Amino acid sequence: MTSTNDNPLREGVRLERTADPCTVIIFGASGDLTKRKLVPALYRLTQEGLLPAEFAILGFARSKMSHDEFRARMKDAIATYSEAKSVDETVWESFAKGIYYLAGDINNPESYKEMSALLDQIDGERGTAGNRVFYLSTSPTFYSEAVAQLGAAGLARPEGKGWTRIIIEKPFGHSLESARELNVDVAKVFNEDQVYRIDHYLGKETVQNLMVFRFANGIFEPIWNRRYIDHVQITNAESIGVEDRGGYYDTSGVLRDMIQNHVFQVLSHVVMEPPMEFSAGEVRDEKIKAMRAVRPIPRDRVNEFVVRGQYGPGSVGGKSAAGYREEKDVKPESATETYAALKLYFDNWRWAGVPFYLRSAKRMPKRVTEIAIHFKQAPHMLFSETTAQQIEPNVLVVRIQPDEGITMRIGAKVPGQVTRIRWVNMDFRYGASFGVASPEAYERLLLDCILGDATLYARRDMTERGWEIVMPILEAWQEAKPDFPNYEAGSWGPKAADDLLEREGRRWRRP
Amino acid sequence: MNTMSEQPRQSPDINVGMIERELTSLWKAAGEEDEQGGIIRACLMNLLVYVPDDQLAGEVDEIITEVTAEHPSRALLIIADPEAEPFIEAHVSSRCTIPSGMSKQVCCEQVTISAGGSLIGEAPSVVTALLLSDLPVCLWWHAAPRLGDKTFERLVAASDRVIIDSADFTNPHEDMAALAAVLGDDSTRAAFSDLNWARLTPWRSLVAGFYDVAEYRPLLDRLERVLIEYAPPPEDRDAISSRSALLAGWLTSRLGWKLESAARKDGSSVFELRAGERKVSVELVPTSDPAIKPRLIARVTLESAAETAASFKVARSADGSRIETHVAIGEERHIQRVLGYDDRSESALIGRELEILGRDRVYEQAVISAGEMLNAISS
Repeated sequence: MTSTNDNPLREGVRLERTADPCTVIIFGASGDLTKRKLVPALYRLTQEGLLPAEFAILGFARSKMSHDEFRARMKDAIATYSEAKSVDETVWESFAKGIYYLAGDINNPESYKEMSALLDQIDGERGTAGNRVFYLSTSPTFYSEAVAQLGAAGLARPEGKGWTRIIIEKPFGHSLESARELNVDVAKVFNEDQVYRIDHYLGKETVQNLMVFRFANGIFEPIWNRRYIDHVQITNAESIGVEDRGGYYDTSGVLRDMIQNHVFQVLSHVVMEPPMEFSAGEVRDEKIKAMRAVRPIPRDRVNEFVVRGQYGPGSVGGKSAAGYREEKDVKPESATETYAALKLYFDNWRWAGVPFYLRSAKRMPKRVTEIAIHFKQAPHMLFSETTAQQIEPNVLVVRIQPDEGITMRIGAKVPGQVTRIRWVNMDFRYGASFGVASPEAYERLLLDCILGDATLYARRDMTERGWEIVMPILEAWQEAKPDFPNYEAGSWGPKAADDLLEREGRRWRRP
Repeated sequence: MNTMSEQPRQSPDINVGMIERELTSLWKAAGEEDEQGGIIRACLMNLLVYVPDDQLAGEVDEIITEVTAEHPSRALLIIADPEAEPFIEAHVSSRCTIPSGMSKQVCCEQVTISAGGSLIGEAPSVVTALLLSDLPVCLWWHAAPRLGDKTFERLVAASDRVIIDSADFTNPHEDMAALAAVLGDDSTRAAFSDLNWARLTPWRSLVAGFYDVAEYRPLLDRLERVLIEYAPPPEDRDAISSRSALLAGWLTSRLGWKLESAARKDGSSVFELRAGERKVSVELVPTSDPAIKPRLIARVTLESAAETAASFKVARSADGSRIETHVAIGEERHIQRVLGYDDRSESALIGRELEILGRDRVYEQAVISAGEMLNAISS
């Protein structure tokens, strides 16, 4: 890897390091992600001066297209999906000179020979120094083949030609077995430090802030354990249904689509020990160490720990919503879950006996992702019985989306002659305190990869651990036919999920 | 972002206790007036603002609204009128905005202190008493810094960060040298920010970016000529604009060059410097392009002596909307790039400065080097 640390003009507080020269090769370049997220993000990074002039994009897909046709498509994409919603012609012309396209077949070695020759040509024309990021944004069924072909074509570890990295989009496998197989296939060709498994939740500002919140504020760490915390709730709710992803979603479900990756990543930030330093290796070591402590859910006791649900017809945000089984490309008798709630325990010193309740679902009353830390009651009640009845435990809520921020609920005396307690929120909102907009998750993640920083990417062991935890659940569900639908679109989920907490004297927070 | 309300409260005397009580009642009233109870009072810092005359106050007021929308603060605005009879008075107000993506109003408070004649000198003691504890204090001195002036010195002493604008320097050469003396003084506690320096950041970033590329990095150690073309200040066409002086000072201090001589030649200023065994010339040349606005930099060219000649250029388009970089390595490689260039508003620049809490040593060293170069050319 080349280093820019010895550039004396980079010293100082304002000049962020620009990335090394490189070419980003996008597999699946005619797809939705390329136009909605990837190219707009790379355009913006360029405009912010965070990418060098010696930068290029090579789109790779099956569709026949010339360089200019691909450029025109990307120009439309930037005009449609970028924040600015417009493109300056002169600036675009300069950016477009670095955009190339290659029509090819992922399974055909000849396509990779052409790719190799074109990359060499780009190095000569654009000064990209042989540095490459391959971005797999195709259907996951092609991942292993693409990786193997890159290896066979000598593109994975080219000697004396700069660095090579590969970004792999989710889903990373469909089961533990398939995730392991994919990891083995990737490892045959790439070293682990070349592999960047993307989880766009990790690019979100609030998820990153969770670590700052925990480890830059000395007051929280001493109470961040079983002594003071009663339980933790993580809610990841979407108000939308499956939209036009019914075909994919019906083979997946919320446990695979959201919980084993995104929700577990968020959870790992809550439960991890402080890392020795803020580096990719240390942070990811601590996260996996914590997740290894998750107590396995026995297959024959899944119903004690997990609730699944599927939405029926209902109403969301004042509009009637169809049931899941009526959605496009969904089987009429589908047993795919659109709601899942889990209770997890961690068998380690810090979290012994503290339940973690996780839920993720579609067609909830609103879109919200939050972590709620429920503290234990005060150990001794000073106040009269009537007053004491008004006392509830403190709750610390970290909202990840929308309206990102942190709220602490505390009890306060209502002014007056008698002691009455009211619950008030101490509120920190990103929008109120920092007027600046957070960068798009994809911008941050793409730049990190080009800079060689894998902290916000999932490591091999973490992807497999996520599957290890959920596999007994998926296997148990496979064996029993669910009674679906069991919650109305626009409600907070099935009654069984409420029972999961209520039988332990707790209840879900209404976000 | 919308300014939703402003509720002035007149206070007859300067009485710090009374001002605090006015602020308390202001918030109580704001809470009662808001039917939804949807007001968030936010405060991340104390923002002191000094303006030297009443005419600037309106313009500054708008900037404070924009700045506090991004950096909720207790704003303490001092409007000084040296020509007036001695007087001092204060009033309090709130300003509320709805940040994008939020339904609630975010409200900040402001105390405006107007002072005239000899009582201007009392204003620092009022604002010092009104500072919110434990929050950083940032002074925006919206005037040419009057080094040696008691009001300036007292406000600087109360501040963690001082924002000035060296573009406001009435005598660029003398004022830059004086600023260099202040920054070089070990007893200066506050960190200084300069909006003129902030405007240079995109230029510095692009120049530095050339040498982030490993292949080009060795050429930085072989630089032999730097050419900075600028539009001179209209009030003194012979003066070097402070922005171009800062750019030259930055390169000189970062690269450890030692000044050997300075000379004027056909309206240009030519500095001969030494980098170890190597000689480097830095030329500051008034641009011939009339479209470039006064004080702005038109183009920077860095030339290196190597087996194949290499030059790196950053240039502003005539209309100022774009910036172009150009790398030429021998005859074979020419890489050109055009980026959008948006001159940031004053409020955006101030907002960016407020995000930086520590001292900017690179800036301080650039000022000291620029001061040395300007001293040499003036003497």
